[in-house]
Amino acid sequence: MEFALLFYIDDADFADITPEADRKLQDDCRDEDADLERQGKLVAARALRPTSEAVTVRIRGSKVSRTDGPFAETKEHLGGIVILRADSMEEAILLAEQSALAKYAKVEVRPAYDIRSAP
Amino acid sequence: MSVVSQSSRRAATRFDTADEKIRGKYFFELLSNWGSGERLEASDPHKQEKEMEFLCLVYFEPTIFDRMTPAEKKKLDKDSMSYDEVLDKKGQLIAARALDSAAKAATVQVRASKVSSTDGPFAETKEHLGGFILVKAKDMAEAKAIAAGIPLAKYGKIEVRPIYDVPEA
Repeated sequence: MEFALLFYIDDADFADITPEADRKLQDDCRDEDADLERQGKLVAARALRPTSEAVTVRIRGSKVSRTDGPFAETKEHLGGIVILRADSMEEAILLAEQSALAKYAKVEVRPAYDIRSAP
Repeated sequence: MSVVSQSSRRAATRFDTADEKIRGKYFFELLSNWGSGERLEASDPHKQEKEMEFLCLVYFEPTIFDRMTPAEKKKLDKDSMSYDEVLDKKGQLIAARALDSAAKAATVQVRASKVSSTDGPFAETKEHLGGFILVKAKDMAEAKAIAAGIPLAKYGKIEVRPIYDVPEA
């Protein structure tokens, strides 16, 4: 099965981070991704640029509208995403708990949905 | 270093390996030409070839599907899969995934070594993240055009976010 780990972050949680802790977090995240990759569990992992650089697109009728900014202005925002393979939701949750960024972010774990098998 | 980029260190950078090679090649060319008297051509592949990555986040109200007939829903699924194939053929698709219902989500955090895991999504919202498409594009304008082609853009909203290029250690 595949799961998405959605990392929601609040900028305030990083306000007091020391350069050492910052470097350690960076190294831990990199090691973790390499570890998942070695185990064949990593599909993709990406960090996102700030929501201030987002654009939101919608189409109604044949009219395309594009607005600057994210879909929703929120205190916590999506900062990164990891797609991984796990045997169960339980394992995916465990992997999320072990991630270094879980100390700073809230991690939503969502099963992927296979539209090919949709009814 | 911005706060967001700190948090953003999450990313695996499997493309960086290739990227490093390109960069290495560029510097090799630069050195080979050094002192040759030849004018250095603009052979920096980063200027010409480097594509950016964008994540198209697809938000919609889950109830839209209740208002659709089975035939309409089938068509939407088919169109969505075809669009992924179109992007794939153009070499622009990295990954596309639909997500299961937010009701099936769990949210995890660790504070002061204490793990808490709650059922449900990070936030209860009317519209939720229903899927995403990770694409390569040369700039934001092209990424926006890709987003406008996503069949679900007719029903929901697509947030396009540039990917943060994580610096190497």
